[in-house]
Amino acid sequence: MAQESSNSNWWIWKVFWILLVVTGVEVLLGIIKPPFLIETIFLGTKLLNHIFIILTLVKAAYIVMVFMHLGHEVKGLRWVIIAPMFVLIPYLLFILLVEGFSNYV
Amino acid sequence: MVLAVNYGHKMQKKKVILWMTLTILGGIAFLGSQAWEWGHFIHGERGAINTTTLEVVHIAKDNELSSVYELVGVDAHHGHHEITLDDVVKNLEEKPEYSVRLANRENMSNQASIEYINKNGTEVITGDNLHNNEYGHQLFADYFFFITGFHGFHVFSGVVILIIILINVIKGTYEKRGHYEMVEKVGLYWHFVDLVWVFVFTFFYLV
Repeated sequence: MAQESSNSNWWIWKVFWILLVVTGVEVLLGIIKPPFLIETIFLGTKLLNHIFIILTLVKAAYIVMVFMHLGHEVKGLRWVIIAPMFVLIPYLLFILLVEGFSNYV
Repeated sequence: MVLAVNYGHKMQKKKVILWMTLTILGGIAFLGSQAWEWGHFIHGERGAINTTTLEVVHIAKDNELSSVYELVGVDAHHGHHEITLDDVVKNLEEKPEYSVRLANRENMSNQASIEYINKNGTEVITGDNLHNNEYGHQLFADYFFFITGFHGFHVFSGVVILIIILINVIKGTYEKRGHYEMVEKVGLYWHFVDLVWVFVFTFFYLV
């Protein structure tokens, strides 16, 4: 591990607050359900769902990069792991969300 | 957990113990909430009626969402009640203010409700499990219990592993070994389960 020299924990708390705020925004949006975001359909699902998916991927990236130390690895290895995920996860979500809501006209 | 790993790098035993303990308490709090949530869902809230159309319908009173319990006149929170379709029809006939609310939230008239139940009703269902779901589509209940069950079981394993590693930390095993790599490994597992939760939370609670 490379970062042992740093003596403070500010970067851990920074990520903690980022994850907390992003989750808070998600929950608030889920409670308020702004009509504009629900009625607008984009790529087969509600605009609100796109926002949830993007925020979730942001959270996942922070967890993998900082909490699971992937950020300390060399650039090549980082991308070998991240790139397929950022293609396959949205692809799987697309299939599940489109098929899952197909009986709701 | 990250803080425990970080203090492990710095060989600060007391702080590793503190943050691992807090992580374990957090994990137990999560499992407790999940047990409460499952209990709530399995017991159910309003009851519903299963139909041949594969849609679950609810009971309304004066066009406001009511419950099967209220219609039949029993206390939902005390004892177990076997309510049959005959009870529902009989009470609908006696109490014209009650009616069926369809899955699309349309309320039927009392007369139409009785005909609808006689024609399409299959059984009265209470709660949410792998066979019935009073809240909506059966597939959602199946996936919900399957996925959150698997995740919850991983959290449980994580708590057990954390406790084992914490005992070793307290005994000074890693102090003697010269590094806290085991804390780092359990941290990696813990955050893998955490990563799964981020997706479970989005797709079962938000979308």
